[in-house]
Amino acid sequence: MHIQKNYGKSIKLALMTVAAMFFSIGAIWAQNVKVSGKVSDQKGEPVAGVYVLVQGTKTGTSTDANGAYSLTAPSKANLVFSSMGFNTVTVPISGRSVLNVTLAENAELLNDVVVTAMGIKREKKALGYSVQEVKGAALLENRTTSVATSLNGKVAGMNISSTSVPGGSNRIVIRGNNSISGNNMPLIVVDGVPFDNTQGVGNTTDVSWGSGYSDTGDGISMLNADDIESISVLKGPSASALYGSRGGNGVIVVTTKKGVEGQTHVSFNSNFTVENVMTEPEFQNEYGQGTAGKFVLTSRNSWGPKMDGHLETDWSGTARPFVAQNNNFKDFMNTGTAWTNSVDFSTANEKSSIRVGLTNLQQKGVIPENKLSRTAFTTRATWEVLPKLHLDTKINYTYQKGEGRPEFSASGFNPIFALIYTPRSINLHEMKGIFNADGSIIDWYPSKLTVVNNPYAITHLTGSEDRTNRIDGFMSLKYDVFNWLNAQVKYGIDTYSKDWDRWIRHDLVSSSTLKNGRYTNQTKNYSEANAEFLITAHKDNLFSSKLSGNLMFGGNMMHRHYTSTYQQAIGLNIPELYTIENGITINSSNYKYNKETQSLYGMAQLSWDNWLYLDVTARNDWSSTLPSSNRSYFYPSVSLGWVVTDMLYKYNITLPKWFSYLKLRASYAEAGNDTDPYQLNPSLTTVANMTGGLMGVALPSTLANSKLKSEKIKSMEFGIESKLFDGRLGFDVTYYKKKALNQIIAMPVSITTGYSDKYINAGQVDNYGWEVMLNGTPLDTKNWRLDLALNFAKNDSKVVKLTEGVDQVILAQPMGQNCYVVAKVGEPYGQIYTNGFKVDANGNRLVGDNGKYITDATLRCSGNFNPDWTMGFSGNLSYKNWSLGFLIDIRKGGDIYLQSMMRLEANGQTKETLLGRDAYYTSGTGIVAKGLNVNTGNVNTVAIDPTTYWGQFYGNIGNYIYDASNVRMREMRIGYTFPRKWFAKTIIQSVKLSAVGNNLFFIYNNLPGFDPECTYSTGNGQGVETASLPSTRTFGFNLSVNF
Amino acid sequence: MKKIYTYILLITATVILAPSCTSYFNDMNTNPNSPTPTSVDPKYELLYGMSRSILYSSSWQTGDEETVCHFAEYAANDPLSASDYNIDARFIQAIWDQSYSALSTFNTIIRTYDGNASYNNIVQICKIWRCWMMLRLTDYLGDIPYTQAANAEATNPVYDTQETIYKTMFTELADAASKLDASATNNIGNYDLVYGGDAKKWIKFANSLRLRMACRIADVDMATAKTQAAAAIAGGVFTSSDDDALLSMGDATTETSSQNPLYYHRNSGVIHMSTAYYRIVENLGGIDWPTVADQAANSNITDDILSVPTALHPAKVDPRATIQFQPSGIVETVTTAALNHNWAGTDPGNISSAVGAKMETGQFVNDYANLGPFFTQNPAKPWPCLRYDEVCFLRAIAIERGIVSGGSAKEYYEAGVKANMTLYGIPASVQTEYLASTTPNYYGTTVSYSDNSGQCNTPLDKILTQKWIAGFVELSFESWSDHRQYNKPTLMPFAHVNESVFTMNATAKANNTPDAYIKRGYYPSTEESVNGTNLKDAIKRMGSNSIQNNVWWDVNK
Repeated sequence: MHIQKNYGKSIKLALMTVAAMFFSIGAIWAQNVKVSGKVSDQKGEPVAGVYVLVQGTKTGTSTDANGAYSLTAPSKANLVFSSMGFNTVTVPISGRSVLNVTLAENAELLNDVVVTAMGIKREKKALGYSVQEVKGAALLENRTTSVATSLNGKVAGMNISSTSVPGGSNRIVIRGNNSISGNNMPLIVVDGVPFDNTQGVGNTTDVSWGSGYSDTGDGISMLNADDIESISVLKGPSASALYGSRGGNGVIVVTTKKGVEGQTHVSFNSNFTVENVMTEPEFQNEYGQGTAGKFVLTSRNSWGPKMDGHLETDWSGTARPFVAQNNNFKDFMNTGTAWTNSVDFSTANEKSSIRVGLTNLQQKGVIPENKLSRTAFTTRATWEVLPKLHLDTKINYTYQKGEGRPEFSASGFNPIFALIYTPRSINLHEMKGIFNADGSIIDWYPSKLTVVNNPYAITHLTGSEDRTNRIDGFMSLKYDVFNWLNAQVKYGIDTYSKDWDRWIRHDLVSSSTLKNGRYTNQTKNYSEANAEFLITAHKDNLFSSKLSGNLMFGGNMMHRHYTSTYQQAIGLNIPELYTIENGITINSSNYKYNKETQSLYGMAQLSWDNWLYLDVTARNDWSSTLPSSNRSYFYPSVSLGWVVTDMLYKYNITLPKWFSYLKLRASYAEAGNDTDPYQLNPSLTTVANMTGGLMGVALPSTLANSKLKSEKIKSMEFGIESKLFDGRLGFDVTYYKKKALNQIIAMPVSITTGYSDKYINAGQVDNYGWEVMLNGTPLDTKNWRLDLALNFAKNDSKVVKLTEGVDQVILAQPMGQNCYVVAKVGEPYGQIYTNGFKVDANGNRLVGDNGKYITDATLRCSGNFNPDWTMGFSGNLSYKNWSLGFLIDIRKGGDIYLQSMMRLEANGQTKETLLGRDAYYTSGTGIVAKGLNVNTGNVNTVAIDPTTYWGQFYGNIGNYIYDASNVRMREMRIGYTFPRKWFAKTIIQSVKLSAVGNNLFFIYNNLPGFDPECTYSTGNGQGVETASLPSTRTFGFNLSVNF
Repeated sequence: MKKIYTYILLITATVILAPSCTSYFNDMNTNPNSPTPTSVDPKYELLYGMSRSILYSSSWQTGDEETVCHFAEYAANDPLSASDYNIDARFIQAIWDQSYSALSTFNTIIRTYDGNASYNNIVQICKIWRCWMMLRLTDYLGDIPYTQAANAEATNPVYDTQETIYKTMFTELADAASKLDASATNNIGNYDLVYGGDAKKWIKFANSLRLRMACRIADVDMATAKTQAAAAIAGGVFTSSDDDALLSMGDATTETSSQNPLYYHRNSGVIHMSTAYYRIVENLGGIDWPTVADQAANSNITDDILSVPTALHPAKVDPRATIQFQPSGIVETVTTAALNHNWAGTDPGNISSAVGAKMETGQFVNDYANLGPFFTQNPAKPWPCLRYDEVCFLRAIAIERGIVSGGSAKEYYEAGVKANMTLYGIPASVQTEYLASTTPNYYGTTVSYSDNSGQCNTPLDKILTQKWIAGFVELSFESWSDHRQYNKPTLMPFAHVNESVFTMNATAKANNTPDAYIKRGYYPSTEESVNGTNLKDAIKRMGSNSIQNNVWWDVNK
């Protein structure tokens, strides 16, 4: 029997169950036969020490070093093959004398092999630090269009939020934020080659009115899930020590698939999902357009009269019944669809392997006109060119096209922003035609000066299209010099070009800068090459002792080159001709940079008697971005893994049978970091086409620093891992603490110095936290199996110091409002400071004689954007051919400023704003704000009208900071593997059909119809929501066929 | 075979690590995208600095139009503005940040080239220009960093007292004027956006600015005022409109930030006439509402003005007013149909919650007159920094107040009115008729200099009324300062103020005393976290950071 390696554990499990059932039908004891064979893993490597048992007896043996076994058993008996780290397989002998078995690895069992730094595969038990691995299969069935979103909830301590446009950018932070003004996201490495993850969202600090940010997607979202074998998340500097400069925030190590020896494999996978709005605010449907209870044609509020069917002459110019209309967010949104098809071919023999994969995605977003398509084509080949000389090469090409990506935040081109200002009595469906018969744009709001309130006009008469061509790959040659020494050279590239067009039609907006339309084109070309060598020596039982180990020495040269051009035609001579030459005014600019780092590194991995493991690494980097005196920087790491159970076993100390495994680990690491190019010397900026058409030169606003040093992150980590009941129950607890020091910060200085910032090395941010992973298999019978896994992470941070005289750095100030997301000395990273209402010593709000709350501009801490803790809980239940899986994730705490809510309430759109309206408009009884009169101290009795009451909250940001706790059904799937006998006479080997759902619903959500994971910026200033695209759910089907 | 591979590996390793020499990395880290401070002619920096010295494009709307223009009461009730005295932090930040980042440019040029003969004039121009620019800021806020500001090392500067700033500027202006060399080769040209590198004109500008400053401090330091005014006049101030300091603006083809900010905002009619304005211009000068004949004589009178229904405009009005404001219903749709083409103002201090929303009075701001096309239709319309008409009025004030001795205040007054009216294309005959008029406006002020009958009709009332009309919108900073200094012309205490920032004294409001008005802006909050110690010293000196504190030269006269 031969079991194909395939799409993951659940399928394997199902297949094996099927196989076991199939072969056990009518099993009858018969005469004994001699059975022999070889047990190998999915890669064709022999597996030693596999326990082979005749089912129902105590007869058994185990495999030798070559994976071979031999025993005598009844010819119709079943053999049970079991080994730590692999799924147990039961195979009927059926009279055969040779029975070769392939065992599938079980990620959740012992002796996991994980991919660590530099792509080195190591036994998990040998590691002195925490690494968490996600198998490629886990990303496929419950596919989302981005690998990043698929990782959500699966890795303890990794937080992900996204801009919620298809193929959009993701903010990924592992174990908290280290850097104040630099990057906090992990490095992504694909098959040992760094993969650029530059964000497609322009802004990282603040967003002002209509500044027009949209998102063309980041790097990780371009990865093709079908090509991924596994993703290892290296969480701390210990794990990522060898990545040096760039690994300080953790590393996401992606390993792609290659051909498996002895197998020819063809498979096809098709996934179709539909997408719709998962959550939106609760609107009121009683009062419509107008002000102070009266209908006002030019109002963008719902403070008008009751929508009781009386006639009003509305924007259409006709008197029509005034009733509630179809104008919820979801009335505007489409049902999105995503269809992914992939084929996968691979074959291998003992000398060579090849794999070819092709995947195509076609997606339509929920926002009209928003589309994404992506095609990825990859080829991986390995070849033993000459004896002992191994070639490994991969080339991957990805083409991605995004269309109609909306603008974010309070932009006139964000349709959601328009919806926030759409009164409840407006029927969106009447806008859908976009044009009136005379060719003018339909808009219920007559002024198209700076805003358009027909969201369909926004999505149809503005547009964007971005095209990315990306090639990444590598070639490596490895030569086994001696059986204990090999040497490898590798050259890897990651290069892409992104071409981005945006346009606005001539008649959409009449303000001076947008009248006559606009066309913008941007191109970016990025390439990074890494050349490296690595010499590895391996020796077991050194000097006949129990000491074994690897010694490695390597070097890397990284060179990055980037160019960009920007061209804009402001005002178009010929309408709808979107070319630069057609511009009335043309602006253009270009930019380029080069950066290089050179590194040397060494690593020693020593093990004593297979129970004590010590790793030591050292790396020195030389960066082109630092001054020559500080260019070179060194950083070491050391980690220790102690497998207590194995030690006790070696010393013949017997443990209770249920106590399978215990390991302790500890590590310490430092990581250095350089900076961006050109920070050392003042850079002036040329500004073309100023008054008189002349060029001007602007001085820098940030004072350069020619004495910058490298940044440093120091981290410590302790962990304990245990497996009980033969691995049926396991846990892993980690405590870590890290300090980010010497940060290169553009430290704000008083603008009166002539500069807004100056680069300095300063500051210290500490993060410390716990990660707990639990997994268990409470149920494991012939037909049933239930696997449960839980991960929990809690991170706390503290900004320990900045620099003399500076007590905070602003991470974001949305739209220049009285809301500051800051890193403030002595407080956690990401505090949200806002204004609010004046309160007395007891916290009672103070009310003026006019019955209104009193605004207090004094900034106070209203929250922090980081969650208190997060948890993911997943399960997989299989019964015969059926499997059922789910993933729930929980976020406790973490605050968010819902600017949309502030605007919606001020506009009288949401349900709460019904308070007091009926009473006021029928009997004139106003609302009495709860609080004490500021002058008398008595309870306020002054009643005010509803518009005034609700209007007073606008601009009082503290009132709109919400705790973003939630419990979310992240993934669900139910699958059925068709019995193999159905396809017995075809080339089809297996067929599995699943129903899948992602981000299905909130089990609990503390926010009023918003999702804290939908952001408009992936910068360091989080915790702010402004007209975000609603969170969406997807559900659909996945079909996989193996040939 | 083995050996070959070993060599290949060794060679590869060597090649990889070979180029790690210092100059290789230093060259790589030299920015190819920008010039270095020493490689560039300072004229390019001068151009940029001048262009960004006034609040430009969108920043003008927040920093100038929506604050100072409302404090001078030309305009009222912009829903986005500080028209209830609650100045948005962004508006303060805009002028603060911009002034200092521009100052950085001028100080850098001065630091780098002072003493370098080839760049002598550009250095002196920078000294004069930074006085002009920073004077606006100190008049706005009071004590500000000046003598230590925009220094090379980015060390926090102290806040100088306004008195120190004025005295420092007097010295700097005198010094610059004395060092300007009219005979030097003009190597600046069009990169000087005010005078194209003409040193003679810059000397006049420096002296005129000294006169402006001298008059401003007359209530607190008459001795200095006298010395400086005399020296300024002796050194030579503006003698005709040809001397006007006008900052060139871009045109339709230049980048939008260089265009005239009023043009930039031409389609957002957020300058709405205030009742205070209406009361000042109504009947003043006794000239009838324009007719077709007037339009034939002056093309600045628009068809829209002629089409205003009689019931919706005053019978007689200052002839500049119908050019300064156009009727409602042009850039914005009126809300009340009956007020289409209304030419009137709205009481300052009533704000609405949003564009198109009702004000607390129940009125809609879009039902009132808004800024005329004279100001908004030309992207290249130069921005006046200091004009001949202002110099005339300053000289008249100086004579009336005894800051200078001798001379005829009346002559300067009339010259100022004529120079200003000429800018609007008002025919000479109308100017003459206007200057002879004894028709009083709402407050009793008339134009004729010799007519001093009735209330509010002293020579100072007349001069300041005319200076206020002449300074319309573009010179709001000066008009607001004049009002703070003299409480003239008579304006209207705001109908409504934001109680959390301004305590309106009922008596002051009823008696229309200086205490009923905003006295300064406030310091931006960013200073608290980055220059806190120095800021606290300044606030301590001034008592608090309140907008009701007087600046040094303002003694609540």
